[in-house]
Amino acid sequence: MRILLIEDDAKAAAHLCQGLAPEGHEVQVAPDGRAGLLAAASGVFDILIIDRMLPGLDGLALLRTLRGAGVQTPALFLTALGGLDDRLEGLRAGGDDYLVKPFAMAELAARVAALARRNAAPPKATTLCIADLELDRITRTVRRGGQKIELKPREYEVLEYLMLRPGQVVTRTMLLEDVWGFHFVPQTSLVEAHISRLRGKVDNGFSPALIHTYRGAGYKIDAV
Amino acid sequence: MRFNTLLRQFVRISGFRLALRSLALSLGGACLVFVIIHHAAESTWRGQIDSNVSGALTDLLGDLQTNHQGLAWNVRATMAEGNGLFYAALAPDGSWEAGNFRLTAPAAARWKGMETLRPRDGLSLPPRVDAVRGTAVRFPDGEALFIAADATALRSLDQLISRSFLAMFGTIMALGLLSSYLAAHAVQRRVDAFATTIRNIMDGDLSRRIELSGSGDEFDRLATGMNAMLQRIQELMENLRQVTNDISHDLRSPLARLREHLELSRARFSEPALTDMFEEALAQTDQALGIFAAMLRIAEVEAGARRAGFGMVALSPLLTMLAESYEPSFDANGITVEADIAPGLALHGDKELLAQLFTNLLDNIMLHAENVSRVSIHAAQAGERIEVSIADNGCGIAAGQRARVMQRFARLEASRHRPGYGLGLPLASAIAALHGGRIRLEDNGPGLKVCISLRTSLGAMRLGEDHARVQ
Repeated sequence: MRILLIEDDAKAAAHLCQGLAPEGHEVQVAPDGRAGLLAAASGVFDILIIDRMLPGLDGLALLRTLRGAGVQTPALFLTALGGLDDRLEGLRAGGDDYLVKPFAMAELAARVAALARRNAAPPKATTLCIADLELDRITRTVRRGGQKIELKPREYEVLEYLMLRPGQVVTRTMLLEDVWGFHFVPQTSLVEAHISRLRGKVDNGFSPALIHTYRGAGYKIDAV
Repeated sequence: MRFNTLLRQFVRISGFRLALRSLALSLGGACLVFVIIHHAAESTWRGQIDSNVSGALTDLLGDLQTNHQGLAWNVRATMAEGNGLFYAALAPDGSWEAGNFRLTAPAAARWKGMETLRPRDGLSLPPRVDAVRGTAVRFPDGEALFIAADATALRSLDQLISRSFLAMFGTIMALGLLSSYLAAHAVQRRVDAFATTIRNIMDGDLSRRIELSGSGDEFDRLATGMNAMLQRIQELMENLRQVTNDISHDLRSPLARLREHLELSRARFSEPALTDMFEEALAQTDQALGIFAAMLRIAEVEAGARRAGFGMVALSPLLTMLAESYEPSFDANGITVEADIAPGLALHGDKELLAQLFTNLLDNIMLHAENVSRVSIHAAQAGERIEVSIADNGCGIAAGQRARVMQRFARLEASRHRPGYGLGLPLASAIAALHGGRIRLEDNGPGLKVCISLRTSLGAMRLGEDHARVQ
């Protein structure tokens, strides 16, 4: 992936480059809003990572300008502002995702991967399959090896979310935001308990195990 | 009922009471003036009649002494002179002898000295005469003489005075009431405008100011003072917000950078002891950042600006979803969840914040309650409110400690070793307050029952307050 990072703080930028490099991304840094705007307008990048507070031209205005000019590159805002309305402002300006500083590098990596996939092919399939696991999005039924599996509504949604992103790490925060609609982190293991239930129903008694846990990062559904 | 309420509302207005008091004073003054006028006019008239009657009596008695013609003859002779007075002479047996009016025996017996009498007292007078004033004289031979003058004018004067008094009284009363009402209404309007603005400010809109009428009256002076005060408060709040933001930014940035360093460094080392140390340092940093985030969230909720984005929130599906979502976590700890949620509950609010409120309370059970085997979630409509309760059958909180756990950073001794910053309940409480509600902690015998009372709309909150004010 070619990533444009628009970040004025050189230390933070270096840290992000270091963190994203192992994922195989090629990161170019723009130190201020104007330089960022020019680079982003070239259209050669797959993903934009924009700091919200930039000297010269702030992140929101920058992205609004880009979207106005027809640049549809997926964009992720990084911000120190964790206010309730700040996230909405970012999304309204045309941002596709919003991450409040500080965050775990794994979180950013997972979100960058998710944005890259979103751009590639929006999922339209009505039936999702991973190995012998089948999920029918119309009847909301799940089968493994032809055997019907009963799932609670939230369990179904978590499984669907994972199956729409096969082989891709999905973080706890992504699940909280997208399945539950929570932009805060509960203090108890809401997500872990659901994954554990889901694993008991989907993987228990079947081989191979499909739901994998990545400690400190998240979960992934994969046939491998 | 409505009139009574309105009246009670007006009576509470100081301007109205003042106007009523001055009205009572004017009416008292008017009464006094009329009593004096009435007394003066009447005594003048009465004195004139009395002197006419005594003059005529003296003349007649003089005539009786000089001519010895008898009472009846002298009465007839005096009448013939035509002085306009009324005479009646009665024989010793009480029969009428002479005169220009008659009177019944009881009337004659009752009449002693100077008196005002009317036809209904037993006198037969000409139709135009409504009252007479006169005196009676009884002679030693048993004859009686009654002399009276026409007192119709005196009575008319009485009537005239009382009628004009009533008219004046009524006019003063009507004008007084009208001006009291208008004064009260004007005061009420101004005070209502003050109250509305102040309530909006309390709801979080600090930019509101009280409108001036431009007349420079005492209300304008008060409003000018209050507006200056509000301006000052807004500036101070703005400063505070700026400082809070700066602190949060300036302190969060180095903390965030520290976190980045720790994270990168952890990746460089593979020794388990070092990795564990990094993990611990990261956890501590995350805790500090978490406290910041929670503090800022409480401040944001308390500022009330969030109300501007309120919409209708379907509470029943939200609570059902939360009950379902927490069921696996509770189940893993051997706790059963019972949900009794009335369908169709909805309120004016912020869905995400409400979710956070209930999440915090459910988290608390999981983190702090001991020996819990059952959690029950109950929600029902109660008039303008929705009452939600989340109860467990665990160890509960001692009555003396319940108020303390609602304070920020307050943690009970037993939970010191557990995760959390002591900000969950204060945040839940701030969210409830934002929705015009409050949180109560009760004994569930055994366990803790957290009762959340929420208003279905802030409009209802305003009406409710007005109602309470009127009562």
